[in-house]
Parts: sequence; structure tokens; C-alpha cells
Amino acid sequence: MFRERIIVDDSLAVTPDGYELAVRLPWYRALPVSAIEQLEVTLDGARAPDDAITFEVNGRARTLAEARGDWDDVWYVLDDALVRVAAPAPGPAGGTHELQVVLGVRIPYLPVAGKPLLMTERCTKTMPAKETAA
Amino acid sequence: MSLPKLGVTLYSFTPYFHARQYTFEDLVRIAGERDLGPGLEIVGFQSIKGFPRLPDGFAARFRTLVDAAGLELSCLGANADAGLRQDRLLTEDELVEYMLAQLEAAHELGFPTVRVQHSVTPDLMERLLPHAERLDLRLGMEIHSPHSVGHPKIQALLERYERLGSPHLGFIPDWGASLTRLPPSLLRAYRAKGVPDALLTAFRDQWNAFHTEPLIMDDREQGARFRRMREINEQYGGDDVSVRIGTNSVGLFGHMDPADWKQIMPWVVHVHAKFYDIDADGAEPSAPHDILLRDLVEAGYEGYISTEWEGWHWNDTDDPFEMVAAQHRLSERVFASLATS
Repeated sequence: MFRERIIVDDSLAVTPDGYELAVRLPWYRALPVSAIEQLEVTLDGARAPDDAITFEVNGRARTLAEARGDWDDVWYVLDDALVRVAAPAPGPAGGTHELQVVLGVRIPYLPVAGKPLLMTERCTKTMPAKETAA
Repeated sequence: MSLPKLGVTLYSFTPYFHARQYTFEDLVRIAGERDLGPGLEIVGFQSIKGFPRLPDGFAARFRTLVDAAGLELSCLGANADAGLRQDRLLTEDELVEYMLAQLEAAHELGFPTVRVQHSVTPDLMERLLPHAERLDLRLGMEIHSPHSVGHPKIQALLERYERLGSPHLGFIPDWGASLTRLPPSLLRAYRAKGVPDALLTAFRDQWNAFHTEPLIMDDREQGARFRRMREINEQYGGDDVSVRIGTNSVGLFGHMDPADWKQIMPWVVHVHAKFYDIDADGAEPSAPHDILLRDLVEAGYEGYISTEWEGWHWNDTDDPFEMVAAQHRLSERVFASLATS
């Protein structure tokens, strides 16, 4: 659902440690943060290792592994998650890059034979990198 | 002849809301302006940040907004998120507590009815009953694809309802559970995205084959159907876009006979008029409104029929407001024909 909205247009920015981007929830309602079971980020063909990625929801940045226990924190459906990737500098601001994000989301009320459904969505976009103040 | 009341769920307008094109308050106001009520249904976890906790003063502001729009509160969509945690399903006690918080929110907002989902067992429904009485709420178990009125989970609830005999418990039919064919717009939309005709035909033929099989009585059979659709997708060289045709077909489009809703009619407390398409004649090609509405009217149902347009899962060209308005026109035509027949 809404896979083309996962990567927020023109949200890619160069940071001192790598890069960051804004990500939307590809679902119609808020979900627990622990519902995010898969988050892959690839920039210009280079996939970031899981432990190099954090995502910030409700003002708290966390890795995918840390998010596993955050079942009582909620990612609201209208909020951006700020995804930060520690990586070699992607080049100067202004350059154009291809970004791909794969988001695997557990749908907590759709158990099929006792196991909630996992929905995986992929989004690929090309955009220039901004300079960030962070 | 007494008639049901029409209405709408804001879920129909999800693409606009998710895109931040219209706020929650905008959508309530527009539903009133465009005469898409009087019934107003919302999904708590969609419309309200922090739900089921309500911000200070939110409920009063919400009721003022609803009154100003000329709407009436019909149903709050609660979610039975048994899979809240990654490590395990919620225990029964945890799920009761999770649902209770949403019931309290529904009461504070002023809703008369709450939609609950199938992770709530008959025992849990019975545990929630005293709270429904205290909060003056009706709890409606949604019957959604792949379930049907004859599914063991629904039959077990029906037995419990008959034993408890409470007007606070009932069912919410979702018309997506009783489609007669795949929505034509589904195949059209994916053809326009470049999915080859051979794959579209294979998906359609498989759904039609499921349609002749016995209805799902064990939820594991749904897993097998998802796998079958994925196999077809691979066999015809589909990708992770085209596979959605197959998964949507299994997850959303049920095979129950639309006339079978009659079996639970005395227990219907609310209706989800799920629909996908309106054809050139103003009819719904896969959800037979003449049958669905006739049976509600003949049973004397006077509650809300909440129009739920879900075509936006693949159709991003039709305007959701227009689609809901067209479904209301269709419903009014069917009511008028019933009045003269």
C-alpha cells in the first residue's frame, strides 16, 4: 500500500556521518514501532548494513534491533520517520542519487494461522542530496 | 417501510488523508458538505494521533465538529492487535485491556458502536460485555474476508450471542466477504501498469476457481491460497507489483453467497458497505447491492450502512468523494425500487 510514498520526495540529505532521508509508513493507520521488522536502505547500489541504520519516530532514534521491543510506542500514520545511515560520504550536496528502501511491516490484527501477516513494500526514487544542518 | 441510514467511513478517503492533502477535520467537514452521511465512522488508529488516548478537549471539539457538519456518529473502528508484539501474541488479559482502552475512547467520543476484530474470541467478547453495558456501547464483530457467516469462529460467536442474549453484542457484515467476481478496475489498473494479460487472466481464473471451492473454514487455508497466488505470479514472470493482485484477491475478496448474510441478520449492529467499482449503469459489478440492501431492508434493519470505498488500493484516478457519492446514489435507487415493489 502506498509504496511510492515510502521515500519522501527530496528528503535525501548529506550528513557528517553519511546521509539521511524521510520515510512514510505505507499503511492506512498507526502501527506499533515494533511492527517494523525489515528496513533496508540502498544508495546508488550500496546497501547499508542493518547496524548502520537508525530510524527516529516520536523523537527517539533506534536501530531495527532496538525497535523490536518497542511495541508500546506508536508510529503515527502521518508522521515521517527520519532514517539516518552511517556510511562513507555519498559525495557533495547537489549530486543526484538513486535511493531504495524496503520496509517490512507486521500487520498486528491480521493473524493468518496464528501469525500476523508481514507486508513488504519496496520504493525506489532518484533525487538530489541536500546539505543538512545536523 | 423503515429504511437503514446511509453513512461513510473516513477510511474511504485514506489516500487523501495519508497524502496530508486533507486533515481529519477537513474530511469530517467535507463528508457533511457533500452529503455523504448522516453516519460517520472513523478508524481510531488512523484519525487520532495517540489513540486510544485522547488529547485534552479532543472529544468535545470532535462532537462540535460532527454537529456542525450535520453528521451522526455511527461506529468507531477499533483494532484487535493481537500481534502487537514481535515476540509473541498478546495474552487474553492483555487483549482485553487493549480493547477496553479503545471502548473507553469510543464512549468519550460519543460513538454508539465499536467494530471489533476476530482475535477477540467468544470468551473475550463475554468479558468485554459488562464494559459495553457500562459504557452504553454495542460491540460488533466484523465479518471480513476470508471469514463468512458459516466460519467456525463466527458460528461460535453466534452461539455465545444467543446464550447471552444481549443487545450490546452483534456482528458487522463487510460486503467484501461476499463478492461475486473480481472488481473489474483491479485488472484494468494493473494492465495499465504493464502487467501482461496472461498473468491477469491467470489470477482471475484462480480467483474464479476458489469461488467454486468450499468456503474457508480454517484460517490456514488462506495461507495456502496466498502461496498459490505467489506461485502463479512467479510462473508468469510477475514482480513485486503484480503479486499484489494475487494477495489482494485472497485477502480482500471473499466468496460467500451475498444472500447468506440473512443467517445473522438479527444480530447485525452496523454494516460495512465495502465496494470497489461503479459501472456505466451506476451499479457495483462485484457487490450486488440489490441483494445486499434488499435483505437488510426486508429484515427491518434500521442501523447505519457505512460506505467503505477500498478501490484506492489500486485505483488512484477516481476521486474517493465521488465514488462514495455514486454508491449512495445506487443505494437510494435500490431503496426506491424496494419501496415500489
